[in-house]
Amino acid sequence: MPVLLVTSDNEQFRVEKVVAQRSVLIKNMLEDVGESDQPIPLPNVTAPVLKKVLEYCDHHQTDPLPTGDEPSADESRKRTTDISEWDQKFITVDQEMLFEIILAANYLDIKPLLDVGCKTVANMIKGKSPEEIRKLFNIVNDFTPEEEAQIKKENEWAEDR
Amino acid sequence: MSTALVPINKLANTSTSLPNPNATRNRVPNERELQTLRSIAKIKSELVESIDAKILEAQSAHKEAMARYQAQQLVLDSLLSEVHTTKQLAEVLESQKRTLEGEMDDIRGLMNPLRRLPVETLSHIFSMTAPTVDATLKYYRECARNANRIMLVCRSWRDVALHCPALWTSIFIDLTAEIPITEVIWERFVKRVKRSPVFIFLSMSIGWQEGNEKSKSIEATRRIIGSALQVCDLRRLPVIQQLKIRASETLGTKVSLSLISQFPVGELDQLVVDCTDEDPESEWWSAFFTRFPPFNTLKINEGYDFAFDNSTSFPSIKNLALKHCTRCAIPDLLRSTPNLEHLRVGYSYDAEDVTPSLTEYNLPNLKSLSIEGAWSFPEISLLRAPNLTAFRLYADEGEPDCDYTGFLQPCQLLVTVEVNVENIFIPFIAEAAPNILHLTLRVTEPHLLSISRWEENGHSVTLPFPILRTLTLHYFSSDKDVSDFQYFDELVATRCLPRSNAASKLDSSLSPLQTLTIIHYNSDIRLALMSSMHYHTATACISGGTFSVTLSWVLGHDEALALSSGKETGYSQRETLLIKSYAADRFQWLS
Repeated sequence: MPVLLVTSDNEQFRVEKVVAQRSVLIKNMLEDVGESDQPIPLPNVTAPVLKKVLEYCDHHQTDPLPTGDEPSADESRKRTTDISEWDQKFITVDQEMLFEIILAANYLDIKPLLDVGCKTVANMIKGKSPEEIRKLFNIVNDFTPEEEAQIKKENEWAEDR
Repeated sequence: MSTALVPINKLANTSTSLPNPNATRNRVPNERELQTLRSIAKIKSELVESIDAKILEAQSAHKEAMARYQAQQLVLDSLLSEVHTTKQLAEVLESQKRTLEGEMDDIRGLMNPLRRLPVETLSHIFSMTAPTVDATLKYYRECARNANRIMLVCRSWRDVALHCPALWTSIFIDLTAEIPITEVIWERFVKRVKRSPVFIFLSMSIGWQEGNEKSKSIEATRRIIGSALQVCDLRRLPVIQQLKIRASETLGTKVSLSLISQFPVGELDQLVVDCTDEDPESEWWSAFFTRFPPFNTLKINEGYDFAFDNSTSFPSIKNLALKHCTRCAIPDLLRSTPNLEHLRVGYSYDAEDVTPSLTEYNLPNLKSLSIEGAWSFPEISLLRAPNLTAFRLYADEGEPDCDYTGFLQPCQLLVTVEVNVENIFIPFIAEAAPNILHLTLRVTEPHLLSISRWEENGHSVTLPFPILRTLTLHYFSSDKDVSDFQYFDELVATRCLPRSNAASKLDSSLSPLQTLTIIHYNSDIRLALMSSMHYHTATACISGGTFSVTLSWVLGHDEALALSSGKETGYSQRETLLIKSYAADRFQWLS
């Protein structure tokens, strides 16, 4: 049975239940209301973002759902940069959309999608200097020169000596 | 106009000047001369009058030119002023533009959804920037640098980073450094990691830069390391994922490790010890390890005489890795680790000096066994591991002087075998482990008969490796002339080509191999391979660099690629799980 989702900009998406239920939020809502054709409002997600999210859910509709068991520190570290080929293509979007997807995945509680987004941002950060990171994400350096020097001093033991 | 004005000496009538022979003398001219002179004077007078007129004309022209110059000067001054003004305007506008752009950047920055990420999501991202875990110094250095970079981006990132334990959970401690520095680093580390599992590298031997050995006296080294170990109280860490200890070369293994007085009391998963030349006796080692909480994994590097005494058992140890443990009596060691699931014996040269007991030893839980070097584990024939699922034997320096596969029989559960040594008797492996799915062998062409045509070997088993899915061959030529690839073609026809292929000789009870990977060390073999009968009929052909090629006659490119590399691609869920399962089995401990 299809499910009707309504975005913050009042667009409606009719999707298969199995696809919509990749979102734990929607799954719980559906379980709470039971069989109903009432539209499900998603006030924190716009239509363009939901369209992308549903594309992900559709592709991964047969994946096993996350169990909720946290992987060990060893395991999770080993997987940090692993993004499947399809997911990599899917997440190749502009920066604004990338963060919107992460926010939507967080709100809709779609952990695998949240992980893909976070891994992508992590890969963007890796190996870059603080200045390069600031430039990449439009972040203002709000440290005073003294604070910056102090932080550098605290951590200089880790640099080459 | 100026063009009409010419200097007097250029006037045509100046040529009328007559010579005046008395001009420089006081002689009185005669009448005739006077007449001439009067005539000349008249001419000159007329010339002066003419010049006066010209002067007036020139002065007038000058005045006119000056007026025009002054008029133009005014225009130039005006233009110059305009140039300055417009330049200033452009500069002001550029400055305004820069200001506006800066403001727009600020606005963009404010609007950037990155700022709206919840703290826990940003923290999650930070935790994913950590490098892949391993036990090298490089890993620990990268962890520290990575965290520092994030800390320096802005105040809010610093705050999140400080509360993101995953950024701080790996730490290298140079126990030979000055104590106040060690103390600051340790306290900061303990505070930041909270209760997260940690990875610690305690080095008594080196600083950040490997090989940078400090030259201190034995007594001074002992004192500094002892004090540092008092500071680095392992009891304060509830969960230690990996503890790596590198002994001091100055003090030796036994003295170094004896300086540890505060042992972990929480959870410990992996313990890694880098030894130095001098090794303690087995009783000492057993007593040392019993001071740790039960741990899963033990890795010993350079443990020359490493051993456990026979009276102590370590039932918690599931994984054991030995590297360069030359005189290690492995059977005795294994009797102390009865629940071992994964064993890796790294290169250990001259292991023939070992005098092990000659009774069999049974490891019923052993799932994977990896041996590197032809002389690393000579007592393997006494091993009984009936539940082994993965076996790897790799030796690049010659033929083993003992039977490294004899212990395999019977191993019904064995699915992954990598045997890269010379002169392995393939039919024996086939009989001992009939359920192999993934096989890697070192072969020359005649060896291929053992895989493709059983009968000629006169064995009772008719079909070797009946459920084999992938075959990897380290291919060596037995002959200088490698142009004849008849055995290879036979192998492809009997094991790889599907029955739909007219050239297939696949037995009715077999399925075609999914991939056949050839690793070769000779470009002639590559050329011969490419000119073999079936090479170009493959449905997938993946070059793994100069010396490797993976072929399949039943799979597409992506599927073959995934099977040959163990990587996930665009597969269906079921296929992905199969591949992951295969990759996990194959690479978990062996890699």
